[in-house]
Amino acid sequence: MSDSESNSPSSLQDWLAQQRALLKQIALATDAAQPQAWSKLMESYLRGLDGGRAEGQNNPAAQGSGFAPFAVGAELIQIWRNGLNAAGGAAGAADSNFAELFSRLPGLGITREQTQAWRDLVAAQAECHALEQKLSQLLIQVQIEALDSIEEQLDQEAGVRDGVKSFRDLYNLWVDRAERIYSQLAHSDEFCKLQGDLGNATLRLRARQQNIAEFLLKQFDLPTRSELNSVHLQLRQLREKVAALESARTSSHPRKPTKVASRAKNAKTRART
Amino acid sequence: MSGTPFDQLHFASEAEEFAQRVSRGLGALARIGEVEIGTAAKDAIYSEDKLVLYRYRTPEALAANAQIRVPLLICYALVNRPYMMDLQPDRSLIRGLLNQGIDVYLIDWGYPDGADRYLTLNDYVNRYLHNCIEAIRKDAGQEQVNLLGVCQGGTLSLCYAALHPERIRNLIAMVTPVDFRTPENLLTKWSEHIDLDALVATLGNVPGSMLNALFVGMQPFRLTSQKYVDLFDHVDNQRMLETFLRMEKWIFDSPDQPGEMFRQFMTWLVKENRLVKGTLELDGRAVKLDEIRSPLLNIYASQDHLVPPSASTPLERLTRSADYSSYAFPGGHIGIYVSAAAQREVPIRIANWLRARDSS
Repeated sequence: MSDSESNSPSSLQDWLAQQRALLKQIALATDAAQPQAWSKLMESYLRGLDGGRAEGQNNPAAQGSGFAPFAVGAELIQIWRNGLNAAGGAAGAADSNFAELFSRLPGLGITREQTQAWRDLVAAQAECHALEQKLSQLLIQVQIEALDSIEEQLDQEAGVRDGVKSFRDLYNLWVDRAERIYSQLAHSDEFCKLQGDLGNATLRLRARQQNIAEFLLKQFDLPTRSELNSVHLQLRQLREKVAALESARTSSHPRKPTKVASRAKNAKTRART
Repeated sequence: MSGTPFDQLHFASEAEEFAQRVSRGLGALARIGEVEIGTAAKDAIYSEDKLVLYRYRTPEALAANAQIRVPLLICYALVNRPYMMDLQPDRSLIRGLLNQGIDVYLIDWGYPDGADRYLTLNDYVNRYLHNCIEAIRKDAGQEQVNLLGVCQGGTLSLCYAALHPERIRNLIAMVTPVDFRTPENLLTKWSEHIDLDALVATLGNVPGSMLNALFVGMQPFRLTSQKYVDLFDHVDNQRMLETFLRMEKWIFDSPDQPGEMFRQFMTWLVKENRLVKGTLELDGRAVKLDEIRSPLLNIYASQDHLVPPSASTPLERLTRSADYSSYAFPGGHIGIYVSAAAQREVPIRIANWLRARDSS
């Protein structure tokens, strides 16, 4: 038996346990109170990939990570790891320093309006981020409940158990259960309200981004979306006035009603053109 | 369950076999490249702003006496592109209708841009749709037109038929939402807490990609994962792969929605359900569905997750058509146009219904 086989799940229950462990780690990673959890999760994942077999066998923590190791090029793993470290560092700095700094800055002096605009932007970003995390937690819960449901079905329904003859069968069962549980959630007031709140928060963020973008465009005397909107609105009002004038003129000087042309005549006209 | 075996050797061979299929499938997809859609021959007979009205060419082999006299206008939705009606030669509602002797016209709404953000519901019903019907009356030499509305285009068609009943000979509503407030309507529930005024004020036109995300979000596990896993079951069937690519293009080729039109549609029709309550007004005139007296065929899909049957069927009690028929197609919102069963059944049903009501 190869090393990879020795770390593969030996039963459906083991597979379910692995998936649950993975979802718990993802849930932890999306929790606002655990800012480092994502990088830990990814590190754990990468360790699972190249973990090497030796590390996986000797390190109980790595074995408990829930990932079966596969043989992947060490070079590729290192590229991912470098990228992860760089992204983690940048994101961490943005989270802990940038946002915190702007939240404390008072709007003063000649740049007061710009400072306020940036503060509003940061506040909107934080609001979106918090709501996205809430939504993520709900969606992870759906997947956990889907696994529970699969387990229950396999335990209690011989027909379902006998029907799972391959990993594909198990996958299809998982999709089916996850969709059913998600559908119940998607129709719930809680989900609809949260999704609406997130949508509205995203709109506030977008509006504040546009506010800043338009300020910059104005510095270079470039047209903004707001100016174009104003032009389009004026154009529409002018078209309506022209249509009303034409309608008034037609009703004061009625033209003879036009007879509809025959199909044969139309066909001839088209043939000529 | 603990004893249920998870045969490791079987799992390994299954994984390897799937990886090989994915590899073959990716190669086959790459070889197919771009796909053609909407290839039935047609002529543009009218255009206005970004709208183009097409007339399809009748097959030459069709005997003149098999023709249905009154022309049929298909009014498609603003969401997605109307070429779904002619996806490919063997999956085409339009070709099916042409082969049944129907003179088919279709409105292509185009791709609205920033200049269209102030277009209203009234513009679409009383200007664009009205002008298209006038153009067809002249082109076909007929006083009246048969109108077939699809999905949101069906809702627009109902508004038009209620306001201009004298122009409509027969009306067909296809997977058309009428009552937006039924318990099964997920999109209505999701829109409940969205600030539509802020949405349109902020975004102007509503991006098609945003709507796509909503539609995919209705069945996320099937539509982001299982559908693509299943695709690789057909890696050796080029025709199926091509059909899949055409569908994929159609699904994600989504025009932006003109902002004001979207706001009015969502507020008046979806949130306030004005069509059912009889409180909708366009251009100062009340839109009353009970003004519709023409023969009416209501076609809906029994497994439609976008427009559930409960949203379509109330049409029967809301109109005063003395000649109301309905047809529940056993399929979904898209299968009703492109499935093999739909090709066999839907055009014939429509043609037979129209033919029986075509005499002058």
